[in-house]
Amino acid sequence: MTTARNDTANTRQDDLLAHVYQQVIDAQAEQYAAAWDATAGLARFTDWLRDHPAADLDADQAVARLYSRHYQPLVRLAAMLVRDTTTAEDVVQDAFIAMHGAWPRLRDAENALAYLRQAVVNRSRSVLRHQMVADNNQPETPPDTPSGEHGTFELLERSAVIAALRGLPQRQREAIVLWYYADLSENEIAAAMGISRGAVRSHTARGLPAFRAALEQAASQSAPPGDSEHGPSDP
Amino acid sequence: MSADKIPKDHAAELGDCFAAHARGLFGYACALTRGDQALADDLVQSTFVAAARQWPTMRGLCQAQRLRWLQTTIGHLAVSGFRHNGALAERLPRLEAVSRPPPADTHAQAISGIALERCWQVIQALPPQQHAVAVMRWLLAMTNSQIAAGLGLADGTVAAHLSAVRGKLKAALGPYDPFGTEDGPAS
Repeated sequence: MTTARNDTANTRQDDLLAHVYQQVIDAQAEQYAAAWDATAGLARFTDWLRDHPAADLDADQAVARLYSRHYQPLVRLAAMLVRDTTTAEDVVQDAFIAMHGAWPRLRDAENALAYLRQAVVNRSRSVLRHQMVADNNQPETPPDTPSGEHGTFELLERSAVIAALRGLPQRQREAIVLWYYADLSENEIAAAMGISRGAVRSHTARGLPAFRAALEQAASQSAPPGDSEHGPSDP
Repeated sequence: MSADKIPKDHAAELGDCFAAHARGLFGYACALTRGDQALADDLVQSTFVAAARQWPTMRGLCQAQRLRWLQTTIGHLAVSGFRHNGALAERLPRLEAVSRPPPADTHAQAISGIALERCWQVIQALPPQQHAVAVMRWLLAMTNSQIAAGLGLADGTVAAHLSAVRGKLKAALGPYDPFGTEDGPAS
């Protein structure tokens, strides 16, 4: 009798026992339900509803406020981490849904924003992991689908930035995006990435020179000749 | 306490939800607690308090999904009562989880009423810890290590409890003989 064999046998048994348990409990529940005092029960719950402070019930409004204020910035943040706006929007919407579910634990807007950022970073990571697998199987990737609200210039500039970011290792890219484009403090970046402040510092320190070099290279390629003096050479 | 701040429509919806599901949940909680009606009443209240806190999200679910969430929640609250510090009560099922379809019923074959009655007697006679472990495993579909963490037991203890309950239920099921011969020469 090997352990593996026991496990297989137990899994088979467990399916059945779950079924047995459900049937037994359901049958008993039906009998016990007859003893339910509906009037007293409802009165007790209604009293609770009446006495309870509304603070626990205002998730809808709080989430709506967070949504109107932070949706677009978070999409831009996600777009820096993943490859296209559509995916970024999905990532952010997922993060909002998860945050809404977690609201009873979060309870205030500041916690919620930190939660959202972390959710966006985590979900972007898993999107990238998934894309990597998909890319390996299907080398032809569809082109980025720009959303209609972005101007052409902004799009061009951003695609250069995104191309430069894409050349960086993932953690360096995240640290730089959160620092430069989301304008977060070191503490907030550390929380969003789930790493220490020291690690944040070392990721930004290593990522920045490479990022600048890539941007400069892109600028010199696209800039018209003779315009190079306005290039990004400031410290 | 500013009672009037509760959105009226939420309170009304919660009242409707309570009226629709409380009776069934009470019966379910009685069965889980093996007949403790006062405790079951408390569990029903706690479950709907939890539902009220999640209502902004829950109100978007259909009735079947709400019921599944309520049942899972009352199950978690019931088993958390088996541990003194009630640690499980803080980890209510996530709302996303209830949108999953229910698992396919692979045992459509009806078990006889007599066998079910014998099983209930077995369940009623289980020591509290074995009962807790069995409910968590087979009603709440938790893994052995989740159960161990939830009850503060060693993994091996959970496995031993489950194996003891399996043996007792197997005997109670009798001629239904669900486990066939592949089970090997049992010890």
